[in-house]
Amino acid sequence: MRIILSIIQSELKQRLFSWVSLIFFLMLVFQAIWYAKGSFDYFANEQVLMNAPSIIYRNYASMGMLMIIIIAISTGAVLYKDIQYKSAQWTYAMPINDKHFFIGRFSAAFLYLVIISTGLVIGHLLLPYSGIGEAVRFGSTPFGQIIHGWLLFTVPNLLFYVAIVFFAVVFTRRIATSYLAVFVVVIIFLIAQTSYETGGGNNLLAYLIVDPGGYVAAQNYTDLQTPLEKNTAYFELSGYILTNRLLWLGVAILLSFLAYFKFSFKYFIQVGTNQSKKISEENRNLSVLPSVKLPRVAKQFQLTNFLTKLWSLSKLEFLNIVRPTSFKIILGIILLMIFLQNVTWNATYYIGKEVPISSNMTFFRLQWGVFVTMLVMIWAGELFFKDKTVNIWQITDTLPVPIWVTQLSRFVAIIGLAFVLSLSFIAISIFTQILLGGAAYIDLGRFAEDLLLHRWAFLNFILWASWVFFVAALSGKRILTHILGVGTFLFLIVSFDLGILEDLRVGFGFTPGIEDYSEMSGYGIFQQGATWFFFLWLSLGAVFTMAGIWLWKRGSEKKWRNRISFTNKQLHPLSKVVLAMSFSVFIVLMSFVSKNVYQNGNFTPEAEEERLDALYEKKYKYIEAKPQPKYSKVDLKIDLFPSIRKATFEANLILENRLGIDTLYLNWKDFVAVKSLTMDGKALQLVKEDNVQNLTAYLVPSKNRKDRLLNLNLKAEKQYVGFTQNEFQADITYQGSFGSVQDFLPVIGYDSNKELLENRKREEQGIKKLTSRKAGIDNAMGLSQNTFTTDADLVTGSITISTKKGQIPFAAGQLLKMEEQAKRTVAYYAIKTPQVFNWHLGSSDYQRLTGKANKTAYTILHKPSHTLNVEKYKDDL
Amino acid sequence: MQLEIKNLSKKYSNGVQALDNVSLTIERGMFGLLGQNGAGKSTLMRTIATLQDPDSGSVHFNGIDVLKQPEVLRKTLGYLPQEFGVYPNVTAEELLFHIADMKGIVQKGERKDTVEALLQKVNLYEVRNKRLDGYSGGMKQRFGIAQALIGSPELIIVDEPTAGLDPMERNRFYNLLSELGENAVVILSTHIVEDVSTLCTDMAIIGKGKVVLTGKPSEIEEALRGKLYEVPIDKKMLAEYQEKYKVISHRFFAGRMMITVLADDAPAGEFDAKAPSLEDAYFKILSEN
Repeated sequence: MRIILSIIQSELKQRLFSWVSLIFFLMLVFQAIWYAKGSFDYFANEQVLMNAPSIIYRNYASMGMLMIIIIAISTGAVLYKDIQYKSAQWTYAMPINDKHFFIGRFSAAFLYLVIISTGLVIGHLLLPYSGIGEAVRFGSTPFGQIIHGWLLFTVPNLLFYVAIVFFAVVFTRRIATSYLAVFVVVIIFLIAQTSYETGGGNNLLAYLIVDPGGYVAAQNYTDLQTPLEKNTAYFELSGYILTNRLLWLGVAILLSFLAYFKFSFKYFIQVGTNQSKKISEENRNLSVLPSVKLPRVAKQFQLTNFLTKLWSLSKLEFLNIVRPTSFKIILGIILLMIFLQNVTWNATYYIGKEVPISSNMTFFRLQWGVFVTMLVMIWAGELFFKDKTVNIWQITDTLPVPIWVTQLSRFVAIIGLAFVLSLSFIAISIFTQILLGGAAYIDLGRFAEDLLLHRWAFLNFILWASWVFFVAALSGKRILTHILGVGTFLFLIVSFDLGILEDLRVGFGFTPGIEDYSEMSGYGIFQQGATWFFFLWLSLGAVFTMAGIWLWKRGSEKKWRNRISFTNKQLHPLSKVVLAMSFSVFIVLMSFVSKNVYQNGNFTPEAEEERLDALYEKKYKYIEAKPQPKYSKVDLKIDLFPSIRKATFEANLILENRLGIDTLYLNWKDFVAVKSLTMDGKALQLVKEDNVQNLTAYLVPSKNRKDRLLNLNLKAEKQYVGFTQNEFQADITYQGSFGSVQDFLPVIGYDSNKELLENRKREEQGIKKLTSRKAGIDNAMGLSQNTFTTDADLVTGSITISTKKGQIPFAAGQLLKMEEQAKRTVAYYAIKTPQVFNWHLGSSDYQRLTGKANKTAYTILHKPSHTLNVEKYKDDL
Repeated sequence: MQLEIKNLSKKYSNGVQALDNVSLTIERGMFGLLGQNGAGKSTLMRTIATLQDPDSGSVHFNGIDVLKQPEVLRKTLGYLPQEFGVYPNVTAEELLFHIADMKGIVQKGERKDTVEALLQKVNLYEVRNKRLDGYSGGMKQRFGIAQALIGSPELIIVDEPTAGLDPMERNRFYNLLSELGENAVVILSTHIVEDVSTLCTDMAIIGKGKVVLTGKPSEIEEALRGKLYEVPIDKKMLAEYQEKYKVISHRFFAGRMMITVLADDAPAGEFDAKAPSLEDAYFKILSEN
């Protein structure tokens, strides 16, 4: 016992009082606060507090990415360091019992993490003082629940992680497997969590139990809590929580025992000695060496020689990555997981079972792309530092080969690796699709676009490898490179996921619309922006790569001023020019993208949108009490130009003016430009124009004010320009435009759709909370407005819609005629019986299928290549 | 063929002055650099081998400014570091082939001949197809010297090549190294006096980052002729002798302590005159520094 305590004491003393531990601790304090903000945003109810116990319990159960990184970095080495630093030869020879040694190191690893994890506790205690929310968002500090949650989730989870890491290290005698073990646990957690969030299907219980950290069970528990319980209650140790905790504590104990019984000095030290590999020289009589003349050789150092070397080295490095069995095992595990995901999860992602089409088979990349990117980054980091790791750098760094040959060859090898991974993903996806009966729907182009381009696929892997390349050169340290490289990536992922970051311009490698694929529209309007974003990141990736060559630390103790100096010849002067040009391209593209996102595309961060909506309500709520006319008859003529995302339209509107008005308030949609607005043929006088809120007010001529019906003529156009980051703008898109007439015509009077509906946000913006978002059962007007718009009752009219040749337009009403006119397709629709004013229109390269059901003629429009549900619709009709 | 080091200084961030105004001129042949562990030898070797930047000073080899044109020097450099690893999954032949390619031997045939000849020279030909992670320390060192010799370098730096080798391996190494100085400047950095006395025609002793002595080993030895005396003593008396005489070294011989004393005239008592060795000169320097 004394020995065990001594080992624990010595280990903790060595590890705890270091800068690294302090940094770990502070990271966890930060994580607790950061995650609390994210969890808080998850709860819609405004009564939930930011330091509610439910948030704190969930944070503990999630462990968090920083805690996971700390576990992965620090745990396995506690046992393995004697092998790693070759101290086992004397440490294991000391008069210590093997098992006592194991218990001591195991306990030390566990206690170290437990002590460091108090950073989470401190972070939770500091929440009210962290500045993440107003004072009103915090209740009194739930001391008991903070400690309870830590004991219920963090401490047993740490025991589990230490157990699985020690188990992996003992049984494989490799430190790398401990990282893999942690990685696999995280994957299981994420699959369980996302599966639970997307409905869970029939496997809900499995997801609650299979997550080793208990987060899914905690999420389920808090989902069923009232706001009061969320703010005050302790978690009860019962139900799923109890089952989950007992199960994984049991697994932790089992793994610990297995590792304990397996471990012995004799067994473990074998990995450090490698006796089995030792080569004996049979001919030992070598005191006199043969006199051998070395042949004369010609040495060549031309550019062509270096290019040849670059190629041959790239091949060599690539083969060195993919040849080992460990690579094949990792790849096999990933492919198996992708296969399982495509078989069990993607198929029910939306609303139920789906036909196994190719676009469904590539969705896995949205989850797996993150992990594969991380894996590629780690591989890249290891490869870039390979010479340092095996300590051959003093030889290789003195060889007369430029850095661009040696390091770039490794980068090329990583590109090769990423390509092989991506091709494997395509292969397993096609295999799955065939297996699920989707052979007839295989779309190779879809696989190529989704898995070989930049939507969390091949090109993203390369971009992030370039970042690692740069960080490796900058830091010159392997572990630091892993932490900074993967840390940056995870930081961006989590920040975008939590909504802390919204603007993709700060997300290296991110492009808009990566998951917004539809069979009809493809990536539609996102495609253009995504391409430009990709080129933006590509130019930065090129800068990273070239700067990486320039700054790479060849040798040791290289002075910074020498490394960054222009006279540093590691990067050829011409390449320096190319670097400068790439950076200039990046700046130009950033400016171009910014112009298209902000200036043209009207990108507004969510917080700003909320502020503007609140401002609208504050400024214009009074209009709601003012009499305003309603749409009564609409004759709309609209010409769609899908390829330039434009529509020009003219509408003759008859507005019902029951109460008599003097001012007409009109709310316009973004991107609509009014050309003229007349009443009875005379232009209306503009009396108010608010360009921020897109609201205009017109003076109604006094002679018309008492008219029962007002005749308005509107000429306008709408054209989407710039890049969108998240708005679909589906009313005018290249293929499959589908919108409402209200996407074009103005909302009359006060536009209640702009009001903030979440009371928490209303409170933040200083506007009165809503008592209910639904009309009371005795509020006939309110209830009717659930169906009717505020500015229309039942409306009649007509729609003449035209679109470019090759597309078929459609609109609400009865189709009277469709014809070709001046290389355009024109359709005439009539709405003769008064209808609710939720008319829709659109255009695409549809195929028409007409028929009759019970004497009613019908037309089904569908994508020519997508006949999957046509028969079903016909049958239903 | 000459290596000229002028006023080289290097101070590490932890405050250690590894090199302090080091100046040396080294001609063709085997040059021994002798010094204790931590004297600054490896720092000097790494600096010459383009792996490290000094704080000040210059290094020139045959008109090449080593600090400004490292890429030019590397074309003619062979370097065997004090400690080095190898890629675990490759054979000696594969790695030598790779290094030969990196050293500019682009013709496959020439590369093959060079690697074969070197493998024979260092007696690794029989095990050329074995993976390097199975090599013993001595085999690895021989592999190291083979890679350093690829491409007929004009400047060869071998840093502590015999450290950790058994006597047989060391002897084998002497054989190998003795051939090197014929057509190149060879710097042998070591803390083992025997290495220098056996192999080198010129030498320098470095201590605490400074060059404290340069010359030919025979001249350095000769300078002590008639000034060294030794006597066996009881080891408890060492302090007393150290107080009374200038004891430059002490060692055990047949279970008794032998001390070597430096004196212009023979000390009184049982002292015997001793023929000077390079080791004595080295110890003298150490005792004075």
